[in-house]
Amino acid sequence: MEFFGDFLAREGWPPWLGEVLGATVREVRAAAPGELYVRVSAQALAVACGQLAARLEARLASVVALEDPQGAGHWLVYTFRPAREPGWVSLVASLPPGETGYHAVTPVVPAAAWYERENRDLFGLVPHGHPDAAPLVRHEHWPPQTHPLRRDHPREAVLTGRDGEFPVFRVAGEGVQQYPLGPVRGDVMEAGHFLINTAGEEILHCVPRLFYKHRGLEKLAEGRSPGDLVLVAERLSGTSTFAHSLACCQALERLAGVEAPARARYWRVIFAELERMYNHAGDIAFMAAASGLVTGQAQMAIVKEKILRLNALLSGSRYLRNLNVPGGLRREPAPGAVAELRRILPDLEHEFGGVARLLMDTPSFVDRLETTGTVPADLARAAGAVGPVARASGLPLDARRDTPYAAYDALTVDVATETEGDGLARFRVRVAEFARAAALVRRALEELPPGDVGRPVTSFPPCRAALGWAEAPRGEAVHWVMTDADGKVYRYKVRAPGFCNWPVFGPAAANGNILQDFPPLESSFSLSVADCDR
Amino acid sequence: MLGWIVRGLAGGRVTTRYPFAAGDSRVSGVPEVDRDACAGPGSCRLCLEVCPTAAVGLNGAAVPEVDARRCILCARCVEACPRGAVRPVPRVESALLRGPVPGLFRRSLFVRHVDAGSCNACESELAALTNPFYDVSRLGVFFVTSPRHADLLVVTGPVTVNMAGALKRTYAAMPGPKLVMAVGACACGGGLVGKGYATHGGVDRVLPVDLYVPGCPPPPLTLIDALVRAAGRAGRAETQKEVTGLAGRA
Repeated sequence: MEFFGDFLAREGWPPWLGEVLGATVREVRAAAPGELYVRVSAQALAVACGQLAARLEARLASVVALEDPQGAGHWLVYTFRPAREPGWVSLVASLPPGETGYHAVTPVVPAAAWYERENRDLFGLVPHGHPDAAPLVRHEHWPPQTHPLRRDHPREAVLTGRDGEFPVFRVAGEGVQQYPLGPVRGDVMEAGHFLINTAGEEILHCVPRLFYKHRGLEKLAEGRSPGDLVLVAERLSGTSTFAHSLACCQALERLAGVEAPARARYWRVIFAELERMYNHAGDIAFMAAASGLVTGQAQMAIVKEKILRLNALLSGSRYLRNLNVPGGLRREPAPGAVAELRRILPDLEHEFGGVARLLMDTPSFVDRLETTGTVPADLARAAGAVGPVARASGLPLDARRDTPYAAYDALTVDVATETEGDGLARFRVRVAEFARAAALVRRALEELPPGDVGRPVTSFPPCRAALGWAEAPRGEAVHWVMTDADGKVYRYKVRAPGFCNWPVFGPAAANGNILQDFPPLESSFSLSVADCDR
Repeated sequence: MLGWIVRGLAGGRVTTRYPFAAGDSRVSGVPEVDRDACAGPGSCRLCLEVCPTAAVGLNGAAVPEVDARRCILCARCVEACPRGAVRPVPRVESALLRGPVPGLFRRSLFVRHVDAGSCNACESELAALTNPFYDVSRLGVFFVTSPRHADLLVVTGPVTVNMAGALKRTYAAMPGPKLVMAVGACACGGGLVGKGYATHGGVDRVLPVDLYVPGCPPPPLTLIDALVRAAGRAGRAETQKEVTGLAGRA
C-alpha cells in the first residue's frame, strides 16, 4: 500500500481518527497534503464507511477499484470529504488474489450504489448485499465474464458480438405504460435512454439508462505519460473541458509536489469562471426552449455564443482546450484579448441579467419549472448530489469554497443556494452563479499577480497517487491518478458531477410530475452524459 | 411579452452572412507543414513523435503531412518543430467529401443527429447552428426528430460499442437517398479515443461516410460549410457564382 503515501505513525494521526474508527484501523498513509489513506479490513469496510459518514458528516466523493501492481489482488478506495474535518479521507481495503466478493457499502452509505455497480461490471468485484443487481456500465451485448478494466483485458479487444435482453424494471398494473425515450431522441441531444413508466399522465417511475457513451477513457489513460493524460481529461466533457483539465492537472501537480505559479492560478480562476458562465447561459437557454419560450432561448444562446467567441479570442479554442498543463498554463492570453475581456464583461453581465429578469417575469416559463422535479434535501444528501442540483436543494456544497484550489482561497466565493429543490430553484442558482462568476473574473483580473504562467512538469514520481478536484459548471469533479514504476499512469479514476447527479434524476422525475414535465425537468438538471459515461 | 419584443429589437441583427460572405471562425485550425521550411523526414521526426493520434504521417511524401481527419488540434507538432515549419492554418472550409453528393437536397436538407459517444463539444457546436448567430434554417437546413424525415445523418463520437446498434438502426430507418456526415475528430478517425474495448474508432468502421468534418470540435462556420456542401451546393470557394440566386433571398 506504499503507493498511497508514507507510513504515518500513531502519533501523527489526526485526533478524530482513533475515536471514530478505533481498532479497525490497520495502517495509515499520507502523501499529498490533505489526503489521508486509512487501511481497514474488507470485512470492516462497510462499518467504517458508515462511521465516517455518520460521525464526521462525511460525503462519499469517489470510489476507486484497482488491481495491485504486484499482483496481490485488488484494492478498494472509498474517498470521503468530511464536513467536520478539512481535507479528504480514503478508506482502503484489500481483496486477496482470487477473492472478488466483499460486503457492499451501499446499505450503509447509499451514495455508493452506482460506484459498486460500476466496479462489478468493470472489475468483476461483487458487492454482497447490494440492493440493485442490475448492471450499470455493462450493456446486453458484452460477452459474459468480461471485465474490461482488469489488466488482463487488452484495450483493443472490442466488446461485441452477442445479442441479449437488458433486464428492465417495469411497473405492473392496469393502464401502466412504459415509455422508452432514447438513446436517439429529439433535436441535438446526448445519447441517453429513459424508461418512463406512466399511469395516464403521471410519471410513476423513471430509470435513466446510461453508458451508451462509455468510451473506456480510464483504460485509455493507462500507460500514458501524465502530460498526455490532460488530453484525455479535456475530452471527458467538452463543455467542462477546463474544469476537468484543471482537476487532472492539480492531481498531477500534487503528485509531483509542485504548485503552479500565482499568475497561472489566477488565470485558471478566470477561465474556469468563463466556462461556468457560458454553461449556465446555455443551460438556461435549454430551459427556455423546454418551456416553449423560443425568444428566451435565442437571447440566452446569444450570451453563450458571445462567451465562446471570447474564449476563442483568449485561448484559440472556444472550449478552452490545450491550455492547462501540469505546472501551469501553456500560454497567456494576448494583451488585446485581455482588453476585450475587460470591455465585454460588463455587457455580458448586463445582457444576461436582463434576459434572466425577463424569464422570471414570464409566467409560462416560471410555471413550467415551479414544483417540477423537486429534489428533497435528504434525497440530495443521501445520493451524494453535487453542483447546482445540490445547491438548489439547500446543500451548500461548493469545492471552490470548501476545498479551495487555484486562487479561490484568496478570492471570496459566495455560494448560491436555494431551498425549494425544484426546477425554478436550479434556475435561480444558475442565475446567481453567473453574476458571481463574472465578479470573480473581474476581481481575478484586478488582482492578477505578476510573473509567468509556469512551465510544464514532465517528470513524475513512480508508484504514487494523488487526488485533484475542481468545481465544474455542473458540480464537483474528483480525479485520482496513480503512477506506475516508470512514472506513467497506472490508474486514472474520474468521478464526474454527472455520476453523482444522475442517480437523483430518476426519483426526482417520479416526484409528482407528468410526462410533459420531462423537457423542463431534464433541462433544469442539465446533466452531462459524456463525463458520467466516460 | 412586450419586454421580449423590445429586447429582440434592441439586440439588432447578429446573424452571420456566411456562406454568402467570407467568415472567420476565430479558432486555430489543423496544422500544415511548410514544404520549404521543413528539413525533410530524414533529419527529424519530432512532429511525428509528439502527435498523440498519429495524425502526422509521411505517406511516402518528402515532408510530413497532417491528416485532418485524425488531428485533435493539440498543436504539439507546432510546438515541437525546431524550424517552425508546422503552423496552424485557420481554415473555415475544411470538410472533406468522399465523392460527389447528389444534388437532391439543394433546396432543403433535413438532418438527424446521433451522438455515438462524443464528449458533447460537437453537440454544443451543432446546437449553436440554430442560435441567432448562425441560424441554419435560413439556408434550408433543419434538424428533425424522426430518421424517416432525414436526408442526412450527422454522427458525432468514435462510435461506442454501446451506441453502434442504435446508430445502425437509425441509418436503416432513413429513406434513400441518404448521406452520412462524420463530425469531429472522434467521428472522422477515432480522434484521441481511437479503437478500444468500448469504441470502434470512427464512423466509417460502421457506416459509409460521405463527408468528414475535421476539428475538435469543428466550429459552427465549418459545420455550415459542410452542410451547404452536403446539400449539393458548392462550398464557400465557389459559392458566389453557384448560388447567387439564393444569396438574394438569405
